[in-house]
Amino acid sequence: MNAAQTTHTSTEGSGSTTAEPPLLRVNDLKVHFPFRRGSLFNPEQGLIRAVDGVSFDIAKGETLGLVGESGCGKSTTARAIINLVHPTSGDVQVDGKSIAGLSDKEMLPYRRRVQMVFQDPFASLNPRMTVGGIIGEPLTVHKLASGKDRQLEVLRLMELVGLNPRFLNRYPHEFSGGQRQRIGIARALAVQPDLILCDEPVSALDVSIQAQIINLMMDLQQRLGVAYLFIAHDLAVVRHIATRVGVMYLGRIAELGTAEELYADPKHPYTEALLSAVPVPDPTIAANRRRIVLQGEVPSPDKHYPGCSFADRCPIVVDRCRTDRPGLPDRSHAAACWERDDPPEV
Amino acid sequence: MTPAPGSQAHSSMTATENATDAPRQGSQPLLQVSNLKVSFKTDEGQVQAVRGISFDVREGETVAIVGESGSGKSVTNLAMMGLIPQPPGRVDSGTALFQGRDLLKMSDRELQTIRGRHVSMIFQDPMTALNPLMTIEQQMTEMTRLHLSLTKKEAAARAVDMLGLVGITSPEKRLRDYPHQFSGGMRQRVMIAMALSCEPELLIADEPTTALDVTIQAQIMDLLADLQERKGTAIVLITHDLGVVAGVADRVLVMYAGRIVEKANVNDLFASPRHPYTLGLLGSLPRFDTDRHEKLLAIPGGPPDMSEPILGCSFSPRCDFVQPVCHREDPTLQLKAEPTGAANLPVVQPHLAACHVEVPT
Repeated sequence: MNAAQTTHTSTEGSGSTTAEPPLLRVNDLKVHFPFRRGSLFNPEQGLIRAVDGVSFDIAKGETLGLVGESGCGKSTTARAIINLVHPTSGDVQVDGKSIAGLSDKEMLPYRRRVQMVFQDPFASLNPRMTVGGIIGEPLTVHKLASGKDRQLEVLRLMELVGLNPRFLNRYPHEFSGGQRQRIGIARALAVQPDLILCDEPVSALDVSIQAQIINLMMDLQQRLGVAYLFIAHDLAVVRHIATRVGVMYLGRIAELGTAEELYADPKHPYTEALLSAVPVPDPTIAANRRRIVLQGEVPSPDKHYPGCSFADRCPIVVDRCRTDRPGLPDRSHAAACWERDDPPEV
Repeated sequence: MTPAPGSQAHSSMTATENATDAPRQGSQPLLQVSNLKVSFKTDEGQVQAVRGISFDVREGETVAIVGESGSGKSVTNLAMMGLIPQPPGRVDSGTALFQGRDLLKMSDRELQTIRGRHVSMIFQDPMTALNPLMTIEQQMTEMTRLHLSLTKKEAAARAVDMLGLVGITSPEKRLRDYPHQFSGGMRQRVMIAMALSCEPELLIADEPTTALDVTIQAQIMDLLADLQERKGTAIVLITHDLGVVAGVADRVLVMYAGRIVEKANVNDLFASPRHPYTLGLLGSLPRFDTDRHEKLLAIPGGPPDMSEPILGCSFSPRCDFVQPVCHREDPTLQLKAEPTGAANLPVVQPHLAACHVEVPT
């Protein structure tokens, strides 16, 4: 793993202003799922806007956290980036080259640059393959190593993620959840990617194991310079691991900023409410803090909002929010909110 | 639920536990569990899921049972309610006195007069806990008609009241809906309304907010606290989330490998954990008030294989403070500190931990 070649070079700011194209650029990404509703004789075309205009950059070696509640589109965003679901519109660029709409074959070299780690370490590993087979498969697919070399590389990867190389010939069911997630990480690292998309990589794990995996991921980033898109619903975990954080609500990014700025000084009323609702493991703080309780539930993404989609639940809503849609200003810390920032209309 | 014959011989607690266990407060406990042991027959052998635990719950208080998957926290409560399939499960010993009567010795019919009426449960997944083929009205009135002998009309009126109480708008209309017509948070509200409709003395909430988003979780926890204040219901909260515990619990039991390893008032537990496992759990949590990018104090290794006999302390292979004695002798709960701020607490719980070592605080 060419650690020397992939040192941190451009981790400052959003990366959007640097001359060199960012490692990953997502531009106005939309993923819409059409569905039928209404009665059999009076069908209507419905549309779920799972991702509805998401833009962000990821620089080499940095971690962008993506947080939001279930159904906000954070997982779909990750899947659309590597074409596991096809984007409806928008652009995804790796090193300035657009990869949207490429065929599977044309995608292959980019799959090597961008890997994915999934939430469920039980469902994402083939139960009929040994650990050695699982970790070694990407090496074969991308023709990186074979025979003895492949074997040695697999053992090196196992050691890298803290798996005992003796377990080479064991099957996934013989491992605990935390160990399985290590296998998934080793498989992603096998092709020496520049970016790993991590979809809730620790949420299925117990806290003590979760901490082991978070430490491992941060350690690997430091050693290998790999960048992460880290998707999670746990705001404390994201604060810990991410350089920058995007807060998603109903298919859009409501707020984007460095982790320091966003957690210390949230701009968007949704971020504020979300942060105030996170349970704090300290009874004294828990008893004394003010919580912003949002009214109502996350609305369904099949509804079309002409204005801000958060308007119905927003404690500081004004008339304009219901008619004009706020975009995300192009700054290092920005919120899509008419009241708290000066967003472009989209 | 009859314990296996011959198991009574083992049911006496050790002297240390007896002496320091009982929280010092006048009132009789509502629920008193002593030396409960539960095992399951599996392909790998007999798994000791719960290995002798004792605790009590008093009127109007919230006792949190914290632990990771497989620690036995859910099994404890399912066993009490007679909800463990036997076989493969088996209650090997113990008593669970509810208002003085042993739940573990009751017949199914007797238990049915307790469940839902005096002790209610809410579960993690409100979708599988509701019957998808019955309307909310059918499900909610079934229980009140049975337990409180209400007429159909009275039961429906009560269901409307309860739904209103848990914050569901236009309850008359929603009563006719099916579970799939509700969102996750709303379904959990329906579950709570249903669980509380007979005004039980005790509510067992097993990971009630784990499947929900944080903003909805906050609403549900507020709702439970509010209902507890109004109705005086005692709550046993089973969770892995220490953040939730800090917000709502009065007393906390920390479980590890089928045992209670620490027992304390909530403030004492978080201010000065006395068991290395609790210390490790708190260190594993990324928090808003710690340095970002600092390494988390993860607990190395994983929980023990419960199908093998455990020698000495079950936590010793992962423990930073381990001593030779820990590999030989299984520690029992012992007094580690007197509770602080006792005057303001509903129940005074001495700070106990099952550990040979004094953990620096």
